[in-house]
Amino acid sequence: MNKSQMLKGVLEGCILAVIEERPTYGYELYLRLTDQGLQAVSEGSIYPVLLRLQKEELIEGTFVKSANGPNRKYYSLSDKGKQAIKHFKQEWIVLSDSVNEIVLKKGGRGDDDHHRIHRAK
Amino acid sequence: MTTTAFIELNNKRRKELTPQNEAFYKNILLYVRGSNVDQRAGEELLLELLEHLIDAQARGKKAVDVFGLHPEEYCKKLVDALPKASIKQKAILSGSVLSFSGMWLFGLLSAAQLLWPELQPSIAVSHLAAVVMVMLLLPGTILTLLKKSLFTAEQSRIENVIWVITMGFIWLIPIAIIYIVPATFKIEGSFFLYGSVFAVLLLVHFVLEKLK
Repeated sequence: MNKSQMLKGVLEGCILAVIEERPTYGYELYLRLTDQGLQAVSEGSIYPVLLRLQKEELIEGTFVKSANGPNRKYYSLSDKGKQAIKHFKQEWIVLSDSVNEIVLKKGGRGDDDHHRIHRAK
Repeated sequence: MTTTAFIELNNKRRKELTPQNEAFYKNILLYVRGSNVDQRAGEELLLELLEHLIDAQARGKKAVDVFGLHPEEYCKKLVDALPKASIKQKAILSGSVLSFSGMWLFGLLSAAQLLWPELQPSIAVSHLAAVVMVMLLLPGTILTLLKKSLFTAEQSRIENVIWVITMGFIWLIPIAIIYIVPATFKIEGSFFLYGSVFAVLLLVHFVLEKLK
């Protein structure tokens, strides 16, 4: 399975969760994601997600200009975004529980197939 | 912050980049600017990416480490996620191109009337229609070609030279049209008429540029 496909929806939720903690800008957001173990994210890949979240009006960006740079765009959650992260958390608990149940406990292990072949013989 | 302020800041901050990183970043910049996106949102994103790259550079990273090995794919993702240009924005842009080429055309005509009245320089409706058509289609075509050539591994020098020559002679198009397209429905104008049209188009162009 394509790993990036799986990550896509989850990444949006993670970004919302990190921004919920406190307003943040692109690079810091990337650091906070990877620090917490989301290593599959590349630096640039957060920007298309941030754009999508802005389009859906879940987050709002404000540019803070400084004389000699760096000029940073800080993101914070909108009211709609606060609702969305609440939803995401609830759905994630249900989803991750059931996925764990299915994938890790029932037939997900690679060697299960071998057992079946032996049994068939 | 206005769109112009973003562009100015971008020009200033871009100087912080190493030549290699700047070359990489410039392709992204041209791609986004050449796409059908809301200009203000596009410029905001471009400055944001630039600041990130400057940060990354200070950490010893290269543009390719930040934006990945497939910049064209990456740019497509960005453009897809950006809001599209509004109809108003597109109309202003087309109007600006049209008023500019028309201004040029009528300016030349009135100058010719003044300098060589014995030639009776004039223009026809067919010429105007051709100019409008070419000028509406040309910017889009050039941008599409430009975007295609951005991420090709090695742009040859000859290709670049041809490109510069084409851009340098683009203003000749209205004049070429007058010579190529047959004149139907001639507009017999005086210096005064052509001059006034020129002045009006100049004003229109100026206003549209301000609105951009």
